[in-house]
Amino acid sequence: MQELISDLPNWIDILLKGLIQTLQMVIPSTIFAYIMGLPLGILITITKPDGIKSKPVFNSILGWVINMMRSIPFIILLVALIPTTKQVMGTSIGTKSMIFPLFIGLSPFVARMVETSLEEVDAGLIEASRAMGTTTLQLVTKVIIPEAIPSLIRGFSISMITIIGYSALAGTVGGGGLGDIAIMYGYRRYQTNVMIYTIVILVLVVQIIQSTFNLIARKIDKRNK
Amino acid sequence: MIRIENISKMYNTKDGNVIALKNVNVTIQDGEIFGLIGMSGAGKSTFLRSVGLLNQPTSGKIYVDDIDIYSLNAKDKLNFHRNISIIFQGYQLLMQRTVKENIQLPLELANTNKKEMKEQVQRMIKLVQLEGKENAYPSQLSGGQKQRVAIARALVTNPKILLCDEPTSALDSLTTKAILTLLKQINQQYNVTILIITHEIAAVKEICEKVAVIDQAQIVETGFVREVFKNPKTEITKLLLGKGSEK
Repeated sequence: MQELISDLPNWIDILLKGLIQTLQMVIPSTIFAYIMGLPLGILITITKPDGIKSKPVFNSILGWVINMMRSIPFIILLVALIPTTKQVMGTSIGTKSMIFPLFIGLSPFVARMVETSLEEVDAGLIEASRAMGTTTLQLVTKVIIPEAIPSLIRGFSISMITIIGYSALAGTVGGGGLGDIAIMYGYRRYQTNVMIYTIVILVLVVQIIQSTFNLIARKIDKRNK
Repeated sequence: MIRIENISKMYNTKDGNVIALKNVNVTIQDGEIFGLIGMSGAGKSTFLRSVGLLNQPTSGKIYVDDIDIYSLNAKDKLNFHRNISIIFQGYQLLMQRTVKENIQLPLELANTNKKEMKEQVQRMIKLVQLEGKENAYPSQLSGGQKQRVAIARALVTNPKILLCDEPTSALDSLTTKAILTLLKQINQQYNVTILIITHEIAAVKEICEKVAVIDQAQIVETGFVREVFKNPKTEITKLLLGKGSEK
């Protein structure tokens, strides 16, 4: 225990660098995953057989694609994507290049998260809005999304935390970050204390993200004022 | 005038076909307050949704001012929706919008300019007596206040017809009276035709001129409220009136 604390200063620089790398992977890929996943989530919700723009065939194809992508374990997707990553990002190693596979891996997850949030909007409210004369676009932008915002924000934090887990895997194939440090020093070199440091940092990061977004969601939600 | 001509509605469910409406004929004159009364599951909601252009009947036609409403194209349907508003038992307000923003929504959907929007919303808030609550959220309001917001939202586009789906069933008797009084005032002040569907005989007695009784997907009795309730011809009307023979 004493060693755990006394040895920490020697690792601060490495850990800090790892944390920054992790965030450099996580933040952009979460944003990109939402740029892709949000419209996908909206599409899969509204095209359901009982949705506001029912397109059952399209819906089942889209659902199938999303499920297929989600069923590939991320580590395998990561390796399989290496050639594509090289083409898209210019290189397949380094922190930045990992944004692409993380984005691909998380987008279908985000689509499902968004779907779950949008489904929470009361069907009665949607019907009432239709009775006011809404186009599909208006229904989505003026009613469904604004009403689902608190839930979407909670979903955002879950997605971000999931991507932190994915980023640890990305670290092992040259992405760097905290996951890489944990594996390199903690696993390969039996430096258990380093492993513990990274775990503590990751736990803190996850806690901070979760409570920040929960707080935002609670502040924004007008349902229980 | 609303003419409902011989409409039927069938649903395909796992347990086979369910008939929600069967050869229903109703005519509602302009400026009338018309009540449709029946037990739960009798077909009331399906009827209201059909008239509100939300649920196309399997057969039959609905004419509003001699226009077959289900034959309208998409654009005309949008305009039609602005001429016929609905209020619901569950209010169906947007929980993340203030009172003012809720009332404003139908105008936003119609791309009304900001100045006119503000004036109209103010006028409505006054009409439903919610002054001072403009910036409150629905979760901060009582049931009666929520229904007032819903009424204001329904009327903000100056519709000719107001459909009410069990508007007072979730309210206590005093609030019910106040809401019904408000509906009557709206009917007289703006000459809005009102169709109320309900299972509460009191609500019909209070404000309707004409009533139709629906039972098992069919209209079994129709006429002026006083006459129908004075001499109920069917068992179901007697039952609704509380004069039914106990089995």
